[in-house]
Amino acid sequence: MEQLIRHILVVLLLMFFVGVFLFRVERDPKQAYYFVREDCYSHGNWIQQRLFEQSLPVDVAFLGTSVSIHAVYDSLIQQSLNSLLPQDSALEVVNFGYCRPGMDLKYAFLQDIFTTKAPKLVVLELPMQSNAASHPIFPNLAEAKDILRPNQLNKDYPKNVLTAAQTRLSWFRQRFWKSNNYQFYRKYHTAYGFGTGQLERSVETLQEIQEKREATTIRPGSYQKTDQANIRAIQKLCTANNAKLVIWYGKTLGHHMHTPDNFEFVKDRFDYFVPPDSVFTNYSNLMDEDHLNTKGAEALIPFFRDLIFSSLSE
Amino acid sequence: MVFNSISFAVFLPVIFALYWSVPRERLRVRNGILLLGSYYFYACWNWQFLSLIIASSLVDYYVGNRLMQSKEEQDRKRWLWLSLGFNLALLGTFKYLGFFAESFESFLNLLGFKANWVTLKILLPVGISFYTFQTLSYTIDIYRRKINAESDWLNFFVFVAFFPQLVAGPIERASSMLPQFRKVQKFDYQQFLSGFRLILWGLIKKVVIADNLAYPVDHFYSNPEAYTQPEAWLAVLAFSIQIYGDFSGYSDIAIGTARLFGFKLVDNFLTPLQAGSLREFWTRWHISLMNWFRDYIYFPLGGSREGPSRHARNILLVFFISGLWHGSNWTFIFFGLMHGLGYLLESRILRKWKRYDGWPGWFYMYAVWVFSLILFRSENIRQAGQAFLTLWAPITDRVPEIGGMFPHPNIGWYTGASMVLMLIIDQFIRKEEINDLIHSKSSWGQWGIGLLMVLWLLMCGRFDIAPTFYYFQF
Repeated sequence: MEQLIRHILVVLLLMFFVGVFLFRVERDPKQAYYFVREDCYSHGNWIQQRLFEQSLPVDVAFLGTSVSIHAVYDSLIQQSLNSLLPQDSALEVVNFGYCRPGMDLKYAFLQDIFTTKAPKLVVLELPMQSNAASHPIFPNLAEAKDILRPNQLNKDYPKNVLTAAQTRLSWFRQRFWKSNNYQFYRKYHTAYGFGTGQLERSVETLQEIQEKREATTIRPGSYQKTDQANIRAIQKLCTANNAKLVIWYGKTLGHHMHTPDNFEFVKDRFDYFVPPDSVFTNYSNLMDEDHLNTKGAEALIPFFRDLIFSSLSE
Repeated sequence: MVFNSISFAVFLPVIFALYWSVPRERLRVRNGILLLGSYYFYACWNWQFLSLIIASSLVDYYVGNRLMQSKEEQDRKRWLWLSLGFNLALLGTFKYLGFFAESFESFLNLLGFKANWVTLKILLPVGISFYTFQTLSYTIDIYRRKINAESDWLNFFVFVAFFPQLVAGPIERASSMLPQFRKVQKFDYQQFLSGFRLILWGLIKKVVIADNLAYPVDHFYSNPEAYTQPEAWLAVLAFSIQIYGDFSGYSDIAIGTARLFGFKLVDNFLTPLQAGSLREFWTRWHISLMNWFRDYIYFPLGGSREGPSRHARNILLVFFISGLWHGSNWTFIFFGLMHGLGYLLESRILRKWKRYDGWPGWFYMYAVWVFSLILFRSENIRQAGQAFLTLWAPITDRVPEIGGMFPHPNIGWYTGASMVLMLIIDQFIRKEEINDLIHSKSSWGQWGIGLLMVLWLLMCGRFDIAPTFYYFQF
C-alpha cells in the first residue's frame, strides 16, 4: 500500500506539471472562438470575425445576455444616434450580447474588444436577479489568468479549471498536428449582433407568467458577490482603456417591478439606466416572457440613444 | 456514468479508497460498499431502472434458495420457470415489445389490413441484456446442480450489480464470481498495476481508435449513396476496427477496474481479428456471451451430437438468438443469420479444402465479419442495402475525399497510424494481455511505457463527443 501511495503522489505531481504546461499554452483568439463555434447560434464566430478580421471600429459596445441580443437594435440605435451627431463624429454601435447569463464571460469579451478596438462607452446589461456564477463557455474562451484569478472562486471554479485544461489540450493538439480548420461558420442565418424575433407565446401564457412572477417575492440571488467582483473587474478594465461604463437593467416580464439584485452596489458607483416598465408589459413587444421582439427593441431605441448621447457628452 | 467520463474518474478513486480502507475482517462492509457504489453507478444512468435490477436480484435470490430446498423435480422445474419467465419477461417487455408490435403491424399492413397501433416507445434500461443473462445462468446452474444457491443475499446482490461489468459485461458465471465475493481480497500492488494498465489500454482502444474511426463511419452511414466507392470501403472497413476498439476497449476497462478491487473477470476478447477462421473468431469475440449461448442453448438442444441437420438447426438458432440479443431490429437478426450461414458454409464445405487454414481462413472470416457489420451498423435494411451497393458502385470522375471524412486530414493520418500500431501490438499480445508485454520490463521501462500510453491517449484521443460505448445500446 505504501508503494501505491508513493506512486500516486508521483502521478499527482506529473499531473500538476502537465496542468502548468497546459495553462501556459498561449491563447489564440481565432482558435478559442472557433472552439465554441457551435454555441449560441455561432455567435462566438461572428464576434471573433467582427473584432479580429473586420477593420470597422467599435465605439459603443453593448455586453449582455440574450436579453441584450433581442433588446439592443444596434444598427438602428446607431442610425438614430448619428442623426444627432456631426457627420465626421459618426459612431459604430455594436451589440455583443451572448446567450445565457455569466458575468465572467462579459469580462472575457471585453478584453478581446479592447485588444483590437477602442470603444468609448461600454453598456453592460445586468440581470434582475443574479442567477449564475460562471458562463459555461468562459473556461473555453478566457485567458488562463482570468480563469485562475481569486475572484473566480465559486462553486464552478474546479469545473472551470478542468474545462480550461481540456480546452488548452485541444488547442495544443490542433497546433501540434496542424489540424486547425478555421472557416467562418455560419450555420444559423440570424442577424448577428441584434437578433430579430416575433411573438412566440400566447397572450394567455404570458398573462399567467406575469401573474405568477409578480406574486413572487424575489429573494436576493446567491451570486451577488461574484457578480460584483466581475463588475469591478470590468470597471477596472474600462478605466484602463479610457472607456466609460454604464449599466442597464435587462427587465423581464413580471420581474420588471422588483428591485434588481446588486442595485445598492450599482447605484452608488455607476450611471445606470432602467428601461420603462411599459415596454415590458406590452405583450406586442415580447418574443417570450424574457425577451423583446423586434417591435419591443425598436421601442427602446430612443432610450438607448439618449443614454449613449448623454454618457458621451459628459 | 461512463468509463471514459470525468465523473467516473472521480467515482472510481472514491470507491477504491473506501473499499480498501475497510479492515479485512469486515468483509460484509466491503461488499456493502461495492453494492451501494454499484447502485449509485447505475442510478446515474437512470435511477428508476435501478428497481429492475433490484427486482431481478430479489426474484433470483429467492428462486435460487427455493431450488435448493425443493426435492421434487416438478417443483424445481416450476421455480426455474419462474426465474426464466420473470427475466425473459423483463427483457421482452423493455427490449422487444415495441419491435414485435411494429413488425406485426407492418405484416398486417402488408396483407392489406389497416393496422395502426400506438407506437411503443419504451426506454431500454442500460445493461438489461447483460444482467438478466447473468442471473439466468445462476438459476439454471442451480437447477442443473452445478452450483449451490448463495445463502448470503449481500454476496448475491453484489454479484448481480457489480459495477465494472454491470452495463456491458463480461457476462459472469456465479461459479466464478460468488466465491470471490465470499473471500476477503488482499491488496496486491502488482494486481493493481495490471488493472490500471488494462484500463489505460482499454481507453486507448476506445478514445483513440474507436472514437476517431467513428468520423468516416458516421459520415458514410448518414447518407451512403452520397459517397464514392473508395470512401464506402474506408467506412465499412473502419467500422470493423471501430467496433472492436469500442467493445474490447470497454471490456478491458471493466476487467481492469475489477482487478483494482482484487476481482478476476473472464476474458471477453482474445484478439479476434487474428482468428484463422469464422469458427475460431466466435471463440475469441464476446466470449462470455457466446459461451452463454453454447452452455444454455446450443448444448441443451443437442449441439452437434444429433446429426448434421439438427446441428445446422442448432447453429442457425444460436446465431439467430445472438442477432436478436443485440437489438430489436431486423438488421441484427439478419446479422446473426448471416453468421450462422457463414459458419455452416465454413464447417461443411470450406474446411474440407486442405489449404483453408491460414490466410484463406482469415480472409473468409474477415469478409463475413466486414459485410455482416454493414447490417449491424445500419438503422434498417434499406440503409444496409444502400451501403452495400455503394461498395460496388461504378467509379466516377468524382474524386474521393477520404481525408475529408475526418475533420482534418491529419486526424485521419494519426488515427490510421494508431490503428496500425494497435493491430501490431495485438499481434504481440495474441491470446495474452497487454500486461504480459509490460510487466517483464524494468521499473523505469514500465513507467516509460505507461507515460507513453498516457501521451498517446492525450494527443490522439477524441474528447469532443459525449462519452458512451457502442454496446450500451444493447
